[in-house]
Order: sequence, then C-alpha cells, then structure tokens
Amino acid sequence: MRKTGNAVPAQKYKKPITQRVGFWAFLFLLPTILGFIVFVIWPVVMSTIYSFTNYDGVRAYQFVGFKNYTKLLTNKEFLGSLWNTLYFAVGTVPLGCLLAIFVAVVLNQKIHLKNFYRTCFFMPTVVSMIAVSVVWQLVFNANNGLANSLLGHLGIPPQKWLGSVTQAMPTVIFITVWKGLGTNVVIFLAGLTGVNSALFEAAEIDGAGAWDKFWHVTIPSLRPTITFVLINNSIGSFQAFDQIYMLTGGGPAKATQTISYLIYKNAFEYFKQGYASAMAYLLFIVIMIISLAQLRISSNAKN
Amino acid sequence: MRKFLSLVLVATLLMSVFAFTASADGETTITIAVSGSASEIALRKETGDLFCELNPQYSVEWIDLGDDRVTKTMTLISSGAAPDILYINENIVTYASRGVLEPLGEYVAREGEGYLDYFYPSLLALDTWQDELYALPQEVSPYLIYYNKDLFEKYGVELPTDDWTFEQWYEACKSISSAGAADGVYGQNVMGWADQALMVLSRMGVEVYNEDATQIWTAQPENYDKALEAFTFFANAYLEDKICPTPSEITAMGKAFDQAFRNQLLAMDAAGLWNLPTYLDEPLNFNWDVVMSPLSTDGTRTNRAGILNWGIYSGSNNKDAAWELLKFLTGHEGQMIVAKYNMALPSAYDEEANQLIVDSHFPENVEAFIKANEFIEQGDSFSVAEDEINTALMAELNSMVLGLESPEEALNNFNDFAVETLEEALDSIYG
Repeated sequence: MRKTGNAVPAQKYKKPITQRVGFWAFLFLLPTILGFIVFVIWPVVMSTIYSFTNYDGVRAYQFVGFKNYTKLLTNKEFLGSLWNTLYFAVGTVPLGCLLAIFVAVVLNQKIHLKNFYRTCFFMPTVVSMIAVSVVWQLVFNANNGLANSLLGHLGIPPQKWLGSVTQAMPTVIFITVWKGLGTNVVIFLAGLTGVNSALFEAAEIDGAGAWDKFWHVTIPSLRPTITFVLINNSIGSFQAFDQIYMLTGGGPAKATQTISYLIYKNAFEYFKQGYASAMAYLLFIVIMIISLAQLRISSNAKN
Repeated sequence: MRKFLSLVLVATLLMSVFAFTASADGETTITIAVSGSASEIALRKETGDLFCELNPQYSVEWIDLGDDRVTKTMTLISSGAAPDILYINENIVTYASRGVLEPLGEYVAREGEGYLDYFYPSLLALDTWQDELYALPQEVSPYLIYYNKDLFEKYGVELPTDDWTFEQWYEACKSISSAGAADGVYGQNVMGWADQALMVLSRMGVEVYNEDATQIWTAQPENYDKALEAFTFFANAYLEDKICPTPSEITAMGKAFDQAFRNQLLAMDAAGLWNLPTYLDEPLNFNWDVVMSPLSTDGTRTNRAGILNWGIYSGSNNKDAAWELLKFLTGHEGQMIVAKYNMALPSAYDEEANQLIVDSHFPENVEAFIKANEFIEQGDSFSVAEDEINTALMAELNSMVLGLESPEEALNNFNDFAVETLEEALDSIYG
C-alpha cells in the first residue's frame, strides 16, 4: 500500500462552550427540565417505591414486596371502586364525545349568533367544579330542586338523584359531561376547520346527503381528533375526584366511590400512603391499557 | 460592568440576610393550626393576641386547616411542614402512635407537681398513649340533645327531662316522626356522623372495641348477638319507624343535619356546644332547649364529647415556645375566652370559666353540658385506626338503612373489615 502522504490528522476546532447552540438551548431549557425532574419524575419514582412499602406518611417505611398489590386485588372496596370508575368512564367518555361532535358540527354551520352559542357552550369549562357542584346540587335537590319540579309538571314523582344508590352515578355523569362539553366542542371545532372543503363539494357532486357527508367525510376526517378526545377524556374520567368529593362524598353506600377518591382517603386520612400508591399504580396500568387499546382501535380503523 | 453587577448582587444578598436577621431578632414565631367557624377562628385569635401581649418575645402564626382538618393535618405532617402546635380532636392515639406528637411528660414536670390536677382526668386519659401524655385539652363539648319545644308540643309529645330513658327518647322520636310525617318532620338523626351512631350503640351496651382498643368488640362471639340486636335496631329505626331520613336523603335534600334542625325538619339534634355561637348570632325562630342524652338501657349514664386538644409536633424546632403557648391556651386565661364565646366547655375544673357558661343561660338548660362532662367515655378514641374503622361502620350502617344489606350482612361485613384493618394498623405500629 502506497502512502499518499504523511499528513498529520488536523486537530478539530472546538468552539468555546458558550458559543455552542446546544449549550444555550440546554441552559434555557434547564429550569423546565429541573421542574420536570423535581415535580414529575421524582414523585413518580418515589410513589413507585412507596407502593412496595408500608409507608404511612410519617415514619420510616419498610419494604413489603407485592403485599399492597396482592391485597388490592382481593379487596372488595377497591374492586367496587374500580367498577364505579369504569362505570363513570363508560358513562362520561362516549357520551361526552358524541355530544361534543354533534354540537361542534352544528356550531360549525353558518348560523345566526354562532359566537354567542360557542361562548355559552364553553362557559361551564371556565367555572370551577366546586361552583358547578353547588349549583347542580340545588338543581337536583330532592325536596325542592328544579329537576324534580320539572318532572312534577310531567306527572313524574320526585326522584332522590344524588341520594339514590342507582341514580347518583348517572347524575354525577350528567354533570361531568355538561361541565366538560365546552372543551371537547372547542377541540372538535378546531378539527372541523381542518377538514378539506373540497371533500364536501365532491361528496355533494356525488349526490351525498347531509348524513352521508357527516358519516363518510366529517367523521373520517375527525378521526385523529376523536382519538385525542377519547384518550384525553378517558384519562380524565379515571382520575375523577372533585365532582365526587363535592357532590356525593363517594356515597350513597359507596355507589359513587371512585379509585381516585379511595386513594385520597387512604393516603390522607388513614395513614396508608404506601397502599394508596399501589392503588395509583394499578389505576395507571388500567389507564395505560385503555389508552393503548383506543390507539390500536383507531389505528386499525384508519388502515 | 460585570464586576459592578456582581457587587450589586452580593450587596443585595447580604442586605436581605441582615434584614431577615433583624426581623427575627428577639421574637420567636410559633405556628399553630386552627380550624372551624368564624366564631372559633375569632376565639383563637383573641387568645393568641392576649398571649403575645403578655409575652412580647413571641408571635403567633395561624395555619388555617379549613373544614377538612384531618386531611390538611396529614398533608402538613407528610410534607414536614406541620405547625409547632397541632389541632387535634379525640384521636390523639392515632397521631401519638405514629410518632407525630411530642411526649409532654418532661414539659409537665417542669410546671411542678399537681399541674395536671386542673384538667378532667377522663379527658387526660384520652390524651395518653402507653402511659405518656401527648396533648392537653382546651375544650370539651359533650353531646346533648337539642330539641324543638314547639314541635314537641305541636305533636303532643311530653318535653324531655335530663333523666329520660333510652326507651322514652325512642318513643319521642317515633311519635314525632309519625305525627309529623305529613309535614316532612322527623324525630332525630342518629347517623349524621360516627359520634352520633356510636352514642346510640353505647346506649344499647354495644362498643366497637374492647377496653384497650386492640380487638373489635362486635366481632367477639360472646358479643355478636348484642351487636346484631343494635344493628337491627338501626335498621328498624330507619326502615320501619322512619325516625329520620337516611344520611343520603339528607344529602339529596342538600342539607346538613343541623340545618334540618334549624329548618324544623328534625325535632331533635345531637350536638355539642358548637351550635350555640351560631344560634346566638342567628336566633332560631322557635322555642328550643337542650337536654341530657338519654340513659343507657341498663340505666347507667355515659356521654360522648367533641374535644379540642393541642399537641406539639414532634418535628417542631420551637418546642419550648410551643409549650408556652399550649400552656396558655389550656390554662385559665385560655379557658376564660373559650367560656366567653360559649363555644365549648373549659376542659378543666375552672370554676370561674364554667360559671361564665352557666351565667349565659343560653340555652335555659346550659348547665346540663357541665353535668354531662362528668360522664365522658369513648373507648374508640384509643384505637390506632379510629377514623378508618368509624368510616367503615358508617358505610355499613348506611347500606343497611338504605335496604341494601340485612343487619346480619352489615355486621359481618363491618366485623371482617374492622378486624383486618385493626390488626394491620396494630402490626404496623407495634411490629
């Protein structure tokens, strides 16, 4: 082999660290990264550790292996709360999504006072759940609430609503859907603006009616938005707490006690933070499975 | 320029350090939890102000726990940010057994012999765990029955007296509920919260725990029949005699029990003195008074009470200062302010303070509260899992009065849960 030369490899020029783009990018991101580590990563890691301990929030903890998890899987109260959480999610997510699509499609038409209606639908979103709960408690007051008054005009006897084992959860679901409708509507409206109008024109030329256009153009075009809303709402519904706390306190007879509420009780009232952390992780697994299933279903439908 | 900026920064830092030192110099700030109505907060602040006036080397910072005081206290403890003095009700053992509270033996010893003689022994007993005192009581509020005289008279029911029996009380509940059904009027709630249910249970000779709260009394085979009888009594009271709307019905009506009493939907309400300041500010528009809780079925008298205890947080950096404030709150000056507000009874043999309550004549039979003080007994306060087990008891009773469970199912479910929970809690504490 012939040497082409005896050149010494050139020393690579290194910019001072302060002149590198990456340094400044990292520096500006540092507060956010630190915040993320301290307020997200660290609690997640610690709660994972706690879930394998008997931590009571005060004293030093001892590792108990999978005891918290195995106990939960046979605990009637936990399983009952898991069932209630699923009931709540199944009640709120599809209903909230369907209603929001319907309202968004209507509000996307050229109608009079469109912005006024949009504001009206969005308004509950900006009101706190506490205030919303107080108002709806008055509406569903079993003695002299508006709901029973309306039923009375229809000849239907008064209902117990939040005081009934069978009606409490549907009532909470109704209030939650009402409260969250505005957010979903805004997301779907944004999704609708992205639908190519040429598709509607083409469908019209092909003789499609309103329903056909909705079913064959609007819905497929909104699929990514629908997936987003479904996943987002599912996660939110599995974490439902404030409306339960305010409206029913988990009652009557634990009929509305969800996992989040049970976690709260165990962690902050019963000195069982390790056990509550295990609950939180089981809830996380359930949410992850459901979110992955939704993504898979959506992906299959797209294909 | 850079050097100049650096100098400015260093100077600012030093100035802020000196400023902090100057403000902190000569004054110790004691943090203390507070909770309750506006009247209660005002009472605490008045006491704190007086303490600071007499002890200018201290200042007091109040940490408002809001209504959800157990949760907030727990959160503060978990985060290591608990105030120097904790506001705790009857469940001292729950906190003491987990190392949250500073033992007070050493501090009490400093005050000389006989210091504790000032307090009611029954209340000090509730503040003691494993022979060590962990808190001192400032207030005690025995549960009495508030009753609406007008409703009693309207429905032809004899007005109660302090020596009425359990049977007479129940007969009054039934008669009023029956006669008042058309007006939506009931007798009395017995399940507003755990204390109210436990009071009825104890009248029937039923306890939740054995004497040292290490076993579930209702789960002992020899006590089972008696416990079942008491559960059945609750079921009949709600489902057959309908002496009260169920707690969930009350929730559905959007009313708390005391509001139902105020709105004349309940003829009686079991509560402590804490209703008095409100009734003083917003007088009830009917004639009313209080009467002692009925005697137990065996003719003996016991009484439950709401108690306010102050304990020093074990992680406090100001324990000596905290003791000074705690001593003041529970001493004569503190008790006098409690009595002035009619919020509760002094927790001590303090004649002057007790006389203030008697002299208020609000209500007419206010002296019954003081009489009831002698009979306070609540063994469940010695439990290391009191809150969780009480919650389970109420949940089972609630399911039962809603007709979802038979008394036997409710009792069995409660026993299973309570035995397991207590064993676990004891195990986590004693190992």
